[in-house]
Amino acid sequence: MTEYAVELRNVSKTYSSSRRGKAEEVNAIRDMNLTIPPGKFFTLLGPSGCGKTTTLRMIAGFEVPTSGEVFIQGKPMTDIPPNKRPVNTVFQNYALFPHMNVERNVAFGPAVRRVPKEEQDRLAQEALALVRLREMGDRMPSQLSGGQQQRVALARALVNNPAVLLLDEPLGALDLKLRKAMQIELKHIQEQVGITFVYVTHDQEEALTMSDVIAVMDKGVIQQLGDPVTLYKNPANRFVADFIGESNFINVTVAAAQGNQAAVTLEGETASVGVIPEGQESGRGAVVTVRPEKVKLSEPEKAPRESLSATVNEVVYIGTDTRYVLSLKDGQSMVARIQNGSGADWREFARGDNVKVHWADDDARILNE
Amino acid sequence: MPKHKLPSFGAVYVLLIGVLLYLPIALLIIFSFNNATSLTFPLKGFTLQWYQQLGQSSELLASVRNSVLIAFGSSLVATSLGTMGAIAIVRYNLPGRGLFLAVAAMPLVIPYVILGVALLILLNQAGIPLSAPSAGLGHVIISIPYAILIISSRLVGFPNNLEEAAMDLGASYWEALLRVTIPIISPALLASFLLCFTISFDEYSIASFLVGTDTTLPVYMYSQLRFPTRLPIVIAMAAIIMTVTMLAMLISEWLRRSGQDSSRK
Repeated sequence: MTEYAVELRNVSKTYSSSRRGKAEEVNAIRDMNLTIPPGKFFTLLGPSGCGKTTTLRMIAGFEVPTSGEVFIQGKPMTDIPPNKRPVNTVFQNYALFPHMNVERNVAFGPAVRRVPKEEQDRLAQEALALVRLREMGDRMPSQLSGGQQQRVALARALVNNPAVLLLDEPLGALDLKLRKAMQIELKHIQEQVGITFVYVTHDQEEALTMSDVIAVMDKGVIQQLGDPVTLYKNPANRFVADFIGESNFINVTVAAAQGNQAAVTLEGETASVGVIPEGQESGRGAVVTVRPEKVKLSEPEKAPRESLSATVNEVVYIGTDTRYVLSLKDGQSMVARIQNGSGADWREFARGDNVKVHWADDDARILNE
Repeated sequence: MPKHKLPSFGAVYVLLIGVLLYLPIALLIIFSFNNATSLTFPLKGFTLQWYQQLGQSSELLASVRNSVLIAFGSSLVATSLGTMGAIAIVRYNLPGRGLFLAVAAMPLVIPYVILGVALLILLNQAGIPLSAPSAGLGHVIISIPYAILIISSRLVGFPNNLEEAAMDLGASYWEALLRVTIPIISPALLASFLLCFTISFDEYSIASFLVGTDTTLPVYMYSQLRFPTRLPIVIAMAAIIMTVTMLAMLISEWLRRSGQDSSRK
């Protein structure tokens, strides 16, 4: 049996807040079951308030589950306080100790473990070398840039060689360019040290860039667990399709369904859908999801038989691609993202043009709500 | 209303406060060097004799020693208790927090004379003899609100998750407190200590009820006012206390500010 780095069994977390004398119960996490494989870059992804930080804090031990149990490396953590757990955290605002220099910050873990002084210094230097800050040991945190403080926080957490490293939106305060660079670096460091990273973010692009496995969360529930490609290509439900990348949602009527295949109609026109859940019946309403970059546009006379009429509302040129905002016959809005090119097949459309929208069957799917 | 009128009001205000506050202090210092027992102009000449006599008055020196001991002990205790109270108020979601604050702040609004009498009755009932420690107890009570206010404002200024970070890295709660919280709030602890020290050192009403025979300086000085010839010595002592107190307050204010600056970076 493989041992998971972290396992959550039936974990729920309820906050009670009393407002104007009225006791309110807020379910931050509902009956969550989650296993995090060892040595992976694991991301908890979701909008703010989805419970991802609460989950992280329960693993760290700062929050106690209302029910259920957290296991780390197979051991139950219920009665283990944060300082006795084999995990370390990189906090959102870094939480560096302002009265200690960089080296003492990094050596804090070894120091409280009563490691001899020379060994503390050696470990701190090693960790600082890992984040490429070897020269900065005697600076104070206030003398460092945001990116450098971030690295110190990372070194301070890694110096203890934890079984699991928890990262709570650590890049949130950095500017975009630095963020992108740090994403790559974090991923490299994770591969280098081989420690399980549990990373919390609301930024789907960040999650896709770094993660081996992503758990998409909403309203205290894991909506889908999978690797980035699976989440993008096979979203389990509308929330995931909407949250990861961009998606069109088109309300249609099912005309016929068989196996994986369905024909749908909209205002008398037909399109086909290649992936559908079970139990689709003709005559029922459904929502078709298709990624903007999978949408194809044609002049009405050149279009295949299975296509929908639309009018171009807006044309935005974005370098490699052009983004078209279209309205379908019944007024529904959708987006197509067409790669700019040349050659016989390719043509540009202008605002007000009538076009036909179509797609490859497998790129369109009907989702569970 | 034209805006340029305001500075002149400000100037008058500053002048008025300056005169009312600093003129008496200046006079006190001037008369402490005046070669005459009566406190009237014109000045009779420069002398250090009052300061010399002060150095020879063993009763006076004993009272200074009592005051320093009481002030030191009471401000140490008040700052320690104030730290605990401030941590409880700021860091924990205490039930009855409002009540706790109200009780802790109560000494600010009770007249010291009444508090002194009340404590006198309590100590008598309990059979505790009046002495320096009992006066110290009274001073602890009146100092605690100030200690809590100073320390809690510093605690609010630094993020809670520094303590979490320390515990996350393996420190127990007490280690986190000793290695992280206390060093960071140390300027506030010192500021609190100095303020409580001056509060105790200056305090007359409570001390006069509770010290018994361990006369404190303010109590001694008040008793000396009956003897006109000793007045200049008392004034010399007052001049010294003024200077020391103002220095202490300046240092405490400077510490408080420097503490805030470093946390803001």
